[in-house]
Order: sequence, then C-alpha cells, then structure tokens
Amino acid sequence: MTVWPVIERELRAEARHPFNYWVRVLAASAVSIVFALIIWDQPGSPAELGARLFSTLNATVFVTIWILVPLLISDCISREKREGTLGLLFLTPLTSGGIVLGKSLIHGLRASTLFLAALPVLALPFLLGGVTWQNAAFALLLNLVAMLLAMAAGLLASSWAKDWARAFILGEAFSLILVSLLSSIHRLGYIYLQNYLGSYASLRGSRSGTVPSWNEIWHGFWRQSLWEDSLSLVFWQDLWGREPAAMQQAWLQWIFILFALSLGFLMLAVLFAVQRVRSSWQEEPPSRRQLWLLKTFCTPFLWRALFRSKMSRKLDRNPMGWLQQYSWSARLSRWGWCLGIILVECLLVSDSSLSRIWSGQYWLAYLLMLSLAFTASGSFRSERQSGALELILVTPLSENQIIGGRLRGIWSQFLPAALVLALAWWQLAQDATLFASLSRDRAGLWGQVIFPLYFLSGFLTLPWIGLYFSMQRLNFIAAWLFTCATGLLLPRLIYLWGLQNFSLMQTVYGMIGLQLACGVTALVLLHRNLTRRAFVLD
Amino acid sequence: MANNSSNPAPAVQTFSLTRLYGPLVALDGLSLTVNKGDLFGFIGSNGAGKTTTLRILATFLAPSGGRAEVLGNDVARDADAVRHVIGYMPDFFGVYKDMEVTEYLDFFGACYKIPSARREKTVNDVLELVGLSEKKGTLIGALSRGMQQRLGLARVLIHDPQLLLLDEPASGLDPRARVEMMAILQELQKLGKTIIISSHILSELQTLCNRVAIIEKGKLIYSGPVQGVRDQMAAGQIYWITVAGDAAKALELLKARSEVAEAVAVDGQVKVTLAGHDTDGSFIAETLVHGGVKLLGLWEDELGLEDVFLRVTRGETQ
Repeated sequence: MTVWPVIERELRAEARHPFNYWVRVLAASAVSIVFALIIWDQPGSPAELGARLFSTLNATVFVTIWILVPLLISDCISREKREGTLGLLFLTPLTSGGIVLGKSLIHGLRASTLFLAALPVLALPFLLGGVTWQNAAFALLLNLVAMLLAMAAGLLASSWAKDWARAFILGEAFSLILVSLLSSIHRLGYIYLQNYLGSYASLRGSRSGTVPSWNEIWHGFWRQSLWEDSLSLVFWQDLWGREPAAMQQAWLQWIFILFALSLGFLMLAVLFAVQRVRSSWQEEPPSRRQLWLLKTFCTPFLWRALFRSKMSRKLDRNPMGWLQQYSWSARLSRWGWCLGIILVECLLVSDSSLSRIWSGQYWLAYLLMLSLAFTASGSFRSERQSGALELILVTPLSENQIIGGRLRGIWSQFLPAALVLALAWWQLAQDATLFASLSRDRAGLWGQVIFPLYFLSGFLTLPWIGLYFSMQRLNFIAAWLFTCATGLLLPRLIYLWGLQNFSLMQTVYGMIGLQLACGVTALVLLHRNLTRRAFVLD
Repeated sequence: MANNSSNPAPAVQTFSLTRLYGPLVALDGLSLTVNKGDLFGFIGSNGAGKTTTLRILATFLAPSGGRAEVLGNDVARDADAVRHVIGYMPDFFGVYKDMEVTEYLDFFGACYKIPSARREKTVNDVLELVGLSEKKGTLIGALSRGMQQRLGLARVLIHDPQLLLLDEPASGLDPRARVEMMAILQELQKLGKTIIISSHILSELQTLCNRVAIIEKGKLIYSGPVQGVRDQMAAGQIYWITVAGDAAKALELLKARSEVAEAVAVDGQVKVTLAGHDTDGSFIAETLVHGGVKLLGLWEDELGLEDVFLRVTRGETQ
C-alpha cells in the first residue's frame, strides 16, 4: 500500500496553514487562562492547589479534545470530494487504504499537537506537588482515549459527508455519541468494580458484592457523568485515598482496556472510511432511492401553495434572509432545535429529584449560542466559495441591505428555539421552590439573573461577530472559534475578573457592555470591509 | 456585425484607469471607449488586466486611480445606478448547487427588485432565451457545465440590462454550446444591448465582434475595429510562393528588393514578409518572372486575430 505520497502532501499542505499554529496557540491559551483563574481565585496549600489545578486542566483538555479534534479532522476527506481531487488521487497507484491511512496519520498528528501545546502548562501542577503518578497515568490514558475516539468521530464524518457544514455537524454529533457511549461503558465498569472490589459502594447506591440492576446503572449514569466520575478532584482523592489497592489496580486496568477498545474502534473507523471512500469516490448522480427520500421527507406536502406564497413574500422582503431559509436543512435545523429543547426540558422535568434542572438550562442555552455562532460564522462561506458573493455585491442591494438581511435571516432561524427556551425559563421561574434550590451566592445570582442577560446579549451580538469573522477568515473553524471567543468567552472572563475588583452591577454592565461593544465593532468593520471589498475569497 | 452610426454615443468610457493590488499594477492608465450597441471583444493574456477592468466596470472593485463611466454614470460615485444597467457574468458560475434553476433566478430577480408578479414571467422568458426551459425544476448541481454557463447568462439577463460584461462566457463549453452561446450574444446585440466580452477564443471574437481592444500588462495596446487591428498591428503582409526547382535563386532575387523585410525557405516553399503593411505584393511575381524563376504558386497569408495578437503581445503578465 502506497502511503508516503499522501503523508508528504498532507504534511506540506498542513505546514502552510497558519490555522494550525493558531489552534495550538488557542489550546495553550485556554489551558493558561484556566490555570491563571485557579491560581488567582482559590487560595490553598501548594499541594492542594497543584491537585486542583491538575484535575481542572485535564478536564479542560478532555473537553477541548472532544470539541476540537472532530472539527479538525472532519473535513479532511470531504474536502477532497468537494474539490474533485479525490478522483485525481485514484487515477494514480494510490489506493483508498493508502489515502485514508495517510490522512489519518497526519491529522492524528495534527490533533495531538493540541495536547502537546498544553503540555507545558499541564506540567506546572507537578512542580506545585499534590499530583501522584497514578493521577498522571490515569489522566493521560483518559485523554488518549478521548483523542482516539474523537479522531474516529471526525474520520467517520469526513468519509460520510461531502458538504463542509454537514461534515462538521456529523463530526460533532458522532463525538457526542461516542462520549456518551464512553461515559456509559466507563460507568458500567466502575459500578461493577466497586461492587466486587470497592469500599465505596454505599455512596453509589449499589449493594456491595451484588450485581447492580439496570435501573441502578441508568440512574447512576444520569446522576454521575464521566466528568464527575473521572475528571473531578474528589473522585481522584477518593480513589487513591480510600479505595483498596486491588480496586486501584483493577481500575487502572479497566482504563487500559478502555484505551485498547478505543484503539480498536479507531481502526474500525479507518476500515469503514476506506470502504466508504472506495465506494463513493466517483461522482454519482443521486440514486432513485435518494431522490425518493428527498421528495418524500424533505419537500412540503401540506399547504404547498401557502408555503410557496410565504417564501415568495419572504424573498421579496429580504432576499438575503431568504437565502438562510430556502433549503430543507435550514428549516429542519430551525424546527429541530425547538423540538430538541422541548424534549430535553421534558427529560429534565421528568427526573423526580430535579437536580439537573438548572444546569440543563445552561447547557441548552450554551448549545444554542454555539449553534448560532456556528451558523453566523459559516454564513457567507458558501457564497465566497461559489463566487455568488461577487454576484450579489454587483446587484442593487446595498451593503447595509446585505448585512441586515442576512442578520435577520439568522435571527429568525434561531428565534423560535430561543423563545421556547425563554418560555421554559419563565415557567421554571414561576416555581418558587425551584428558585429556592439555587444558592444566593455569586453562582446562584449568575444563574438566576445575569445568565439570561448574557444569553440575550449573546443572541443579539453573536450574529454580528460571526458574520464579520465569516468574511475575514478563510478557515471555518477559525471563524467559529474567534466568534465564540469574542462573543462568549471574553465577556465571561471579564465578568469573572470584574467580580474581584468591582461591584456586581458594574461587573454586569461591563460584561454586557463589552459584548455589545464587540458586536458593534464587528458590525462596523464588516460594513467597511464589504464596502472596500476587503475580504478573503476562496 | 453591429451597425456603426457615424457618431455613436459611448456606453463605457475609462479615463487613465489604474488598479493596484499592493505593489502589483494590474491596470496602468487604461483609457478605453465602448460605443452603445457594440459587441466589443476584450483580448489579453492571462493576468493582463481584463478581469480587473470588468470587475471595476461591474462596480465590484474600486479603481485606485482614474475613473470609469458606464452609460454616463461614474462607477465609483454612482455605483447603484450602474448596477441597475449592467449584467455581469464572471469567469466562474457563482451558483448555489442545492437550489433549483427557477429558485436561483427568482433570488437574483428579487435582488434586482423585480416585483414578484412580474418575476415569474421574466424567469420563464430568460430561460427560454438561453434554452433551459425544460430544466426549470432541476437542481443546479445536477446541470452540466454548459447548462450552468447558460444559467449564468440567464441570470445576467434577468433585469434586462443595457450593458453586458461577460468574462470568458464560452470557456469550458463544447463546440456546439459555444456556437449557440455566440448566436445568443448576436441576438442580444440585435436587441440593442452593448456587450463587452473577454475571451481567449479569438477566432470566434473575430467573427462575432465589431470592435476589439488588446490589453497587455494593464496597458491598452489597441482599440478599434477588428479589421483595423489587422491593418495597424500587423508588421507586414506575408506571402507564400512555390517555385519549380531550386528556391535559392528566388530567395536571392527577393532579398534584393527593398520592399521585402524577410524571405526564407520553409518546407520547400518561400515565405516572404513585406516591410510595411501599405506595400502591395504584386511586385513579387514580376520580380521572379523577370529573374527567370518559374513560378508555380503565389498567395497571400490571411492574418487572423490570433496571429495579430501573438505578434503584438509577448504574453507578459503583471
């Protein structure tokens, strides 16, 4: 199998991308910021601080891997398909195995640089003390497991999709499925080990020495996530401090098994990708079955005339906004979000303890904002790639109409979901007992009052910032990360910093003010760049 | 061919038009006039500045220096007015592949603020004009390259512009599609449209256009009627001669004449290049016959636009 030409080409191509450099900077910066926040905010002995730092930094790396690695890998094959270069590779003696393997190796290497960039900061807790070799081995293994599975998610998505947005979304969806699967398997192993070897069973609601029921596992899974089980300091202290040596050893073995399983899964994913590339590299028109599916499930069949006249009116009023909504996938995303929020709210409310009711709201809101940023930062991408932007800019639509129209399109795509979420919050806020469960400290106040403001201001400003970066960055992931960093992360950091130095009101004003200032600046720059045609064209 | 009036009004005028991309001079003081009703060929090597000129005229780019007017409107100051009267077709398709043909035209119709009541008829009309009526409901991604090119032309025509700016409209088309495209352009010229077309297929421009401009390194080399470019730009007329027996004597006789710039033997024939384009070639036969050379054949080499282009340009880009 010929692999080397693919490796050489990928290495050359990746070495020229400034984006790779910035991703490493981002990974190192994220870990450094977390480090600074912990050092600054929480006093304690050096050993305590070291242990706390180590667990938090590892948790940050763990989450970053699951989000960024699929994004980095998910367009590696789909891009070749889109640009028609995959077919050219097949005209040479290269095989699908060589292509996929070469790409997997290089993109795996590229993804692992994320971890390497964070390594110097991760080493600092060792200097402070309080980190044992078991902790280090355990964290490394868990991060490697995450890396392998996240790579598999990206590779599967890339071999499946052709369109960039579909590849990214599939990559993240597979990543979510795999992290949930890992969490379940991890949990299952943990419960079994505890029942047979551990002294910790009573805390988990299982009877020592007996096999737990599925009901116990299910409820245990919901109550204790992978995050809480394996990435928290409490867990580590419990594991190494209270559990017997046999349990500790068995636990490390279990993580080794998970590592081996992940490696096996990655190999399966590579084989699947090879098979998929082999069968789909040639450009084929949509099959009869695909056309039937598209016609049956993706075209309106009720009130067609009404739908057409509504879309026609929308096109007359706002052609740029119509572009955001004409496709079935855009409509699916719009109403799919509403349905998803309703389903998650039902699940959260159905839990009798209601213990996750508030954290569930924050997760939903963050996911919605990330999705909004995703849509905004990829908004002008297809126009730039196809050249349609140049055509739109020579129509009588003014720059203001183009920007305003697109903004209205993005807002109206997410407005129903945001309203459903706001309605759910309103209903929850009516229940005084739920409010009472929240603490009255800073965290509680953040959740009850400030977060909705942050959400509202984010909903307003993220499309402004996203549109600006969608025009300025050639790489979509870079555009999305910049949007999230400017519109969400920076104001949040300012809030945390402000709490130390200013009154609460001043801090809140500062945070919202910064969000609005960033948004307005992005809007002004976007208008200026569009007028001067100072944007990157693919 | 277009009918030239004695004093035609200009549709496009550029005055010392300059465009810089950083240190690169893409256009260097280009002054050009295109009259109303012209089918104007814009010729130049890759990177000569054709696309930049068309982009400036289409208001997509602002000039770095000089100015340009389209139907009396300054492209920088009155961009909005210019956009209503031009139709710009770049050298790429600029299509949304997941849209249907009618959706695509409907969208651009809305961008040009055509009322929805009139849009459906307009879309049908332009689709019929470019021969895509049967593909109304087809996804653009499923259209062939030639059909996408035609769709691009339909988009250009959707708002009935007076001036069409077409950048390589026939590139990538098969011979039949190219002939059809050229026929459509001639039809549009008859309807009174002014068309500026940049193309590398010079043989087609030669028969299609009534006026051409040749541009190199951002500078105008020639602008005027197609016949004029042959007369002005050709360094000298070429004749080919076939003689009985050895050509050496014929070469000797011809080289002795002051009207002959060059005489060389090529594959058993003699190629004679005259010193100036005003020189009449009838002296060749007279000289050879008087010199005792048996002349078998003598014919004038017809210079095409392609030959002229190759002669006057060096293929240099910015």
